[in-house]
Amino acid sequence: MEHLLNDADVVKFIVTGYHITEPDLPAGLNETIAAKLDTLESNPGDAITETVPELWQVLENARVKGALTSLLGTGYEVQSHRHWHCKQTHSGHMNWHQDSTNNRDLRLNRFLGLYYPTDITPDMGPTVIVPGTQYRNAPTDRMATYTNIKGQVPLTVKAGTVAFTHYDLWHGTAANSSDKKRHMIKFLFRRTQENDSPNWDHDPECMNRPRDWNLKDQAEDPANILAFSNPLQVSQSDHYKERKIRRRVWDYLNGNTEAIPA
Amino acid sequence: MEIVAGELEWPYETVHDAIVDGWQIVQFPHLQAPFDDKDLDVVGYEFILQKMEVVD
Repeated sequence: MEHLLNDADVVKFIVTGYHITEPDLPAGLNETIAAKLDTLESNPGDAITETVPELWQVLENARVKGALTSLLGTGYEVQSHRHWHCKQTHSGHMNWHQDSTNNRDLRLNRFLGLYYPTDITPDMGPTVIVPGTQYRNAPTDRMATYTNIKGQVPLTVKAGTVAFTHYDLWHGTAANSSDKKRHMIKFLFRRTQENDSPNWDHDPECMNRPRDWNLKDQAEDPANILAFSNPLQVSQSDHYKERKIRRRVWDYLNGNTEAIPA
Repeated sequence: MEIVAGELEWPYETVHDAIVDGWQIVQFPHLQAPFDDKDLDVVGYEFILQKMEVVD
C-alpha cells in the first residue's frame, strides 16, 4: 500500500498525539467544499457527508488512507458520527477540553481526523492542540483555569489538510477575529481488529539501535523519539510514566495486545 | 486571558522571576496524592499569582 507511515511517524503520533497530512486532492475540491459550507444555513450533523458528498473524496485520498491504515489497521472504520465545526466570524475562543467523558483508553483504537477546506490563519479561530496531553485524564473543570499552555500548537494549516488527533488530546479553539467563517469537518475513525503485526512501513530493528544521547529527541530515530521527547516539558517522574505509557502503546500497535489489557 | 493562536509572549520564565518582580503567590499547586502512580492527569505546577499596583 502507498503512503504508509514509517516508524518515526508512528512514534511521533504516540508521543505528540497528532499527525498532519496534506493530501494531494483534485484541483478545485477544497474550493467546492468550502463554497458549499459557506452557504449552509443549518448544521446537518452526521448528514454533512450527504449535504456535501465531495467530502468522501478526502477520505478516499491515498495519503489519508495510508495514515489511517498505518495507525488503525486495514479494516479501519469511518464511524457514522461526523460534524461540521463552523467557527463563526468574530466569535470568541473555546476553553481546553478533552472529548467525551473521563473514561480513557490507552489502546489506540480510535481517533479524529480534522479536515480544513481552506487555509487557516491565526486570526480565523484555529483549533489549538497541546501535544503530549493525550495520556492526561483531566476533567474539564480542572482545566478551567488554564489559558495558554507552553507547547500548544495552533493548527494554522493549508487548505486540504487533514490533522489526525488522538481522541484524548487536549484541545481548544482560538477566537475568530476575521471576516471569514472557519470550516472544519471532524471525522471519527475506529479500529475493527487488533493488530497481530505492524500495519505501517516498519523496520523490525528500529528499536534495537543504540540511543543517541547527544541529539536525544532531535535524532530522527524512533527509539530516541520514544524515549526522549518531552513536548510538555514535564518533570522527571511524570516523564517516566509517560515513557512507560508510550512504550505500551507501541507494543500494543506491534501486535502485543497484552501490553494494554482491554 | 484567552487561548490564542499567534506568537505567545510569556512575561516570565519562572514563578520565581515573577515573585522577584513583585508578584505574590495566592495559591500553591495542589499536591495530588493519593494517586495511582501509573496515571497522568492535569499539568502540575499551577501557581496562581497576584500583583497589586496603584493605578492613577
